[in-house]
Amino acid sequence: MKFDNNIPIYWQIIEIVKQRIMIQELKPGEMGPSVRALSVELGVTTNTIQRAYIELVREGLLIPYRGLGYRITEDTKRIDKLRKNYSEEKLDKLFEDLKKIGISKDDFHVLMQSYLDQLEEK
Amino acid sequence: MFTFENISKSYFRTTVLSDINLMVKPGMLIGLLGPNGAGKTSMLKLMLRYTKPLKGKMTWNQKPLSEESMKDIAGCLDFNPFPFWMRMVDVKEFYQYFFKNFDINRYQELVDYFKLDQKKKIVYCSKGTIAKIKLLFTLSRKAKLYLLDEPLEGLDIVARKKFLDVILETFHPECSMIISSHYVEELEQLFTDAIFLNEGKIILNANTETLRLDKQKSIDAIYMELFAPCGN
Repeated sequence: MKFDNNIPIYWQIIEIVKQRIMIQELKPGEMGPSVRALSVELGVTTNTIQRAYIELVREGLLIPYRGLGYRITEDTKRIDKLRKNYSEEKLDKLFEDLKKIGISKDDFHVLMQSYLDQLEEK
Repeated sequence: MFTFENISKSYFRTTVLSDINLMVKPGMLIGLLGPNGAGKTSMLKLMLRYTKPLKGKMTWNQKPLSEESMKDIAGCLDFNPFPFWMRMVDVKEFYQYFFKNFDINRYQELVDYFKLDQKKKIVYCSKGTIAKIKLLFTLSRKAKLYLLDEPLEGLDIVARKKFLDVILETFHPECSMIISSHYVEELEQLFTDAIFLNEGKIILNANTETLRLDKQKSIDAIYMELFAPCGN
């Protein structure tokens, strides 16, 4: 896997795991991939994966089981919150970009509405 | 754990390493980086006891570096170490005899993975194939410390990718590895630490993720920043 080497790689691994949880490739209550397996899959050392996992445990998305690995949280509220944060981040980014070309809050609202209407027509 | 304490080395009047201090801990996969002639190979040669330091002390697991330490340390340097008459099958027997930690199953796996002809005299192989053979023997030993000098040199892009996978399979948190290379961009996602060496001195030694965080730059970019002004 090709990473952006300008930012810490474990940050990017945290994002990958979060996305896999959000798209339900990793389902609530299931065992997550082992540190070793993910290391070989993504082409980074186990240390880097471990570092990402520690952070994911801290955020409550992974539950460590001593000697067995990590389980994905069964707390679906937490996963919903993850999805909400992710969406908000994407919207933030979008709105920031649009603001730069002079789109106001009201314009944004109108744009979104007409965009959604168009989608429905298709 | 391997340590360098105030190590200096010179050949005749040329100083190649001066006052090197270093700690290589288990779980570290270190990129040894620097321009040509920085002293990378000299450092690895010292660690493998091919030469002796002029000053300073090296230790392996708190004991002075000795013949005994070499059971745990596997390395390959940037030259063909195999006698002209040897085929891979001969080297295999040699390794089985000399190295208790030679893992024959792992060896076989790697031979199949790299699709090598074991019955061909190694000297007749191409540069790239010799590079693969050297790596294969080094990584077939269950060592605690692996030292690889320019391992990607001469390998095509597919072989380089395969090699990265083999490194990851071999590496585990209880061992350490030092890889010297000019392929910074290709290797940097493997490194836990980077040592930048110039004119025989360590000018920067840090955890790669910390470096990325602090400088908001890749190891490759930091390398360019450090060495481009040197005129190399």
